[in-house]
Amino acid sequence: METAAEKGLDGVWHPSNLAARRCLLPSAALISHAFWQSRYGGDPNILQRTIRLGNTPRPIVGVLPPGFHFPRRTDVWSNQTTREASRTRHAFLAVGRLRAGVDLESARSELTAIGARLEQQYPETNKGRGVAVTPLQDVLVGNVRLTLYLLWGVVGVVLLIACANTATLLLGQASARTREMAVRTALGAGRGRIVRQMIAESLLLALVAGASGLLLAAWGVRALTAFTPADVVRLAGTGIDGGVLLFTLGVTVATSLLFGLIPALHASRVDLIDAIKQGGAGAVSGARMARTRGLLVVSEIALAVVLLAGAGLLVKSLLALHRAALDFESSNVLVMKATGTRPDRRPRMSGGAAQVRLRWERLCRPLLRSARELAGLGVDLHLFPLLDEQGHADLETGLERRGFRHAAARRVAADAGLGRGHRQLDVRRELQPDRTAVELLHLDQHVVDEQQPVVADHVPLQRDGVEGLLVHEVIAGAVGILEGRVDQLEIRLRELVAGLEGLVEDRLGDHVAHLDAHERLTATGRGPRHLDVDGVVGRPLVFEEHLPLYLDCLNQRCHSLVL
Amino acid sequence: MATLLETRDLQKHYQMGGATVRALDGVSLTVGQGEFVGLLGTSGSGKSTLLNLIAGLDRPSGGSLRIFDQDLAQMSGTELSLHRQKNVGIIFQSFNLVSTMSAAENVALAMMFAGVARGEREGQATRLLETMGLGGRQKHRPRELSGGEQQRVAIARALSNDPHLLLADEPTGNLDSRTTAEIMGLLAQLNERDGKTIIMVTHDAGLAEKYAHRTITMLDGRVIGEEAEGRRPSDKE
Repeated sequence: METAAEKGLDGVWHPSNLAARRCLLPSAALISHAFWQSRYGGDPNILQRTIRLGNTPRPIVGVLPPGFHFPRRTDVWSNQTTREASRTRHAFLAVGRLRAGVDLESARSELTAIGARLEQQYPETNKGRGVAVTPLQDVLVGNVRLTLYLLWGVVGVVLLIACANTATLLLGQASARTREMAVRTALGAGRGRIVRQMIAESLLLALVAGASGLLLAAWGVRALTAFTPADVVRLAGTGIDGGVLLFTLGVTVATSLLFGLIPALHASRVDLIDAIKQGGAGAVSGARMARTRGLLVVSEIALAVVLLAGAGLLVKSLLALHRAALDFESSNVLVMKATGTRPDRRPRMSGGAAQVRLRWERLCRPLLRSARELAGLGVDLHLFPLLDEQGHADLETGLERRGFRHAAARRVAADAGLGRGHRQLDVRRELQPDRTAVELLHLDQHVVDEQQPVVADHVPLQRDGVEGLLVHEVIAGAVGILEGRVDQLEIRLRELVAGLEGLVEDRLGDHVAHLDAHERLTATGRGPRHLDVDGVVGRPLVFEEHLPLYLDCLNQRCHSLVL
Repeated sequence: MATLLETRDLQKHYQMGGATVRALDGVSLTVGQGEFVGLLGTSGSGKSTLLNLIAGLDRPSGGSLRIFDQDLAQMSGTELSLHRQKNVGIIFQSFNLVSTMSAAENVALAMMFAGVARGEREGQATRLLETMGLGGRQKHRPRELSGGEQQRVAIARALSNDPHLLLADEPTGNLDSRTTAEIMGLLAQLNERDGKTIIMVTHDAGLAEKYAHRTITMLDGRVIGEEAEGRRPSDKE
């Protein structure tokens, strides 16, 4: 294999580089810009380094541009081949580019036909399965499109208010300059010239305002993007480019013409004799101006009221969302998660369910002991074996094979005792019972015994506010009730995770190669993101603070959500 | 002396509430080229209304008003603008200079409307201001000038497009006697030396008699008297 480094490529590599694209051979890896910066300190010789994924070192052949988040906030991309014989892996997302001249409908019908053929050919594994073809843009921005339109509307209304305000001021100015306009007319200026002059002044004012706005935007865009959730699509691409400049120019010219015309027409219709004699606006013109000003002010107030009402409703909705009954007590619930090994590197355990459970308990007990010692926490621990007796970890088929149903999932969650004794987790959610069940199924994807999850250890809460630590998939995550300060707990948990990490590697060797935190938990921008060479660990979240994130996870069927 | 201006039964009516005000009620007069005419009358007699109609700032309600054989009553808005640019120069009682412009820019303003090239109008403005004795005041704004100086700038502006007819509406109404004498001397000079036809509205009969060739007295929108006992017109025409 000829890597990018061997080819002498220096610095950041982009996949658009055709020469480098050919280097993306099996066992190579691409990393995100953020990962390059935080993990490797922006090392310019990154292409000469390797990264361990599982227990395989892979040469880094490129760094993706800043802001490239697909899928989601991925840090490392690497090649993967599926087992040829497997027809049970249906979780893959395929992305392709339509060939020139092929439209979406054609591709959709062709793939639907292929899906139908496969269903007919392999009824055991493909029954009821088809292919959904969706434009990537819809996948990426579908969730934010409505929000963006809403934002667009709000900005439009604000712009209208500003324009009405400016037009009112220009009318006032035109009124003050009535005498000047009358003198200009008396000196031979035609009406067209007066209108042109006023519009030119309005345009100049708008251009200065537009330039100021762009300057402000240039300064403010960085601050705004820093405040925006990091998982907003193409956030890093937010900035001022040619399109923005063109749009600003267009809006500037259009608004200045539209709203400069009113005062310009008024100025061109002054009563010459009266204006020259009195220096005032003249009775007729003055009354007309007053009417127009009144109209503008009324429009301005009406738009402001609409905007305020909209903002009020939005705030009300947000508050209602915050107060929405989740059917469980979310305050001070702490969530943390780290997922484990590559499926093909997971330890296989043979034997019946009881044997597997026993083995897992043997494996996990020292982990729990160490966890308590490391963090000094009293923990309520619930362990779940990772794999079934055949060593399979496939979620959906595994669950189907075991006849998992919602009721079973609820029982599992109840048996897990989340919040037991202090907070009641009510899995009988009325709003979206199916979705809740799905989440719970995901939570317990590796439960071997559907009737009774293995409880490896149980230590009542003693101190420091953590009630429970849920460990699954070797080192998986924690759900606890936080009663202390989150920053103190965060430090403890960080130590805990680091300690567990070492312990797990020690115990499982090659079977546990890295920790990979749920990417959404790392999106808060606080706390250390990377703790280990091969690991990514997120900071704990407090549910109250991140309710929208939780809801987002639900909506996206985020399988790694722990609760 | 060739006729420059002729009115026949000129009417100007305004509607004030339900009543019709006859600001001009059948004015007929002629003004020859190179003449200096003083329009006398009390307030509300119609003299300023007549001047505004001649200037093309307003339109008559009836009768005819011909300047250079062109009937102003029949002119379009654009033609009236051209008339104000080319045929007449207007001097106001309160100067009416644009306060944000310098003296030179004020003078050049009318030339700009007439389409005179920038360089040419700047040169012409400078020359006119020097003629008015304001050579060193070109960059000054109106508020930096005295009343007399402002009126000189206004006269220079009225002359900028070299019109045949100067219309002065109480040109010395806001000035002291010494400055009044200066301005009137300047107008007389323009009439004598450059052959400009001048129609001046004034309350001051003495001033009209001293400087004008002919005085026309108006009352209630009508001409009630006409005297040619003032200064003798030059015989250039």
